Amino acid sequence: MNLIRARDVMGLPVVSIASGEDVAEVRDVVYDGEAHRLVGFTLNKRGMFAGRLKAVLATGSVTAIGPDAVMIDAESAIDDSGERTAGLDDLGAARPVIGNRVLSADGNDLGEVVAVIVSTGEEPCAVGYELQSSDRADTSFVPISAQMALSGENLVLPAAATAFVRNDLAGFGAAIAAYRSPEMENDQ
Amino acid sequence: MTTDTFRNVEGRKVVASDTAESIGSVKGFVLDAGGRTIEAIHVDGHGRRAMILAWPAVQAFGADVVMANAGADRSTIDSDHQKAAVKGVVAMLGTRVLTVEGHELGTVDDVEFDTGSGAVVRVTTNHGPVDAHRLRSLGSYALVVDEATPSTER
Repeated sequence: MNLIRARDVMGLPVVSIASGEDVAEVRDVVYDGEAHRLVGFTLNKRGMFAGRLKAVLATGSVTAIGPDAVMIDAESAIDDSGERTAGLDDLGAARPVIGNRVLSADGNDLGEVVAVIVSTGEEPCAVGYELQSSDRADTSFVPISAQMALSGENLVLPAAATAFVRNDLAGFGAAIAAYRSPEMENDQ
Repeated sequence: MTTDTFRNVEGRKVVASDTAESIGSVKGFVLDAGGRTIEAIHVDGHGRRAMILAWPAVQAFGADVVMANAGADRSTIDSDHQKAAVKGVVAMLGTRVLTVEGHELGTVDDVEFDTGSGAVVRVTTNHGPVDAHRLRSLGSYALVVDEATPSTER
């Protein structure tokens, strides 16, 4: 599984597969910390001094996220109806996850959340968090699980997820694939 | 099937078969939205004054000359699609290649096409060839292509 930091999606062009046109670019990533869910993206017009677009792009309307572009089937994937989806509207109210401390179920402080990790390719979703240890010496990646408790201050990593913590993004991709495999889901 | 490439045919003379008069030379191509078929040849002029020859009016795309059908005439551009093509806003050569999963595959070096039908056969990029069946759309930002699958690429 190929992964990317959510903030690295910012600034990527949004390209229509139907027309080959760059219809927008990603302004910001909308992430619901409480549900550990990638909600969607706010958008800018393309161009150096272009402003913000009213239209938003929900994650479900994205065909694929790649290192070089966010792909949509057609321009109609962008929602400019003015009726913002609930998740995108609740942006201000969403509990932030960046800055939370992650604690293991057995009582270790694993570090502070510095980034949300998103899977690339088709059906992109948030799969993990990047952590930085208190002394800033180590970074690690922990998988997101539905059982993760979040207080706005701390996140508690379930014991079952501890085995899938990795220190590099490439290795974490493989760990996530294993963590999310059907056998694991049955165990949870 | 006889094929030729965009770079190779650039500047090739276009001649009316009935009058034997030259009606221009190959300056570029207008492709369909999918980037798979040549719709017209840009034969003369620039911008809004550009003259094109519709592909069905091509009698023979020869190795030395392009022969136009008897009575066929070049026409002025009449759509935004054609305008974007003759202005070079939407052009195959040099355009960015982007897969449906958002990976850039360099830029288009050249395009191989069937001189009989006007169908694009293969696009060569600085990352290797892309067969025509992978082409999805040609726009001002990119030529969008399907991901390569091991069985489809030779």
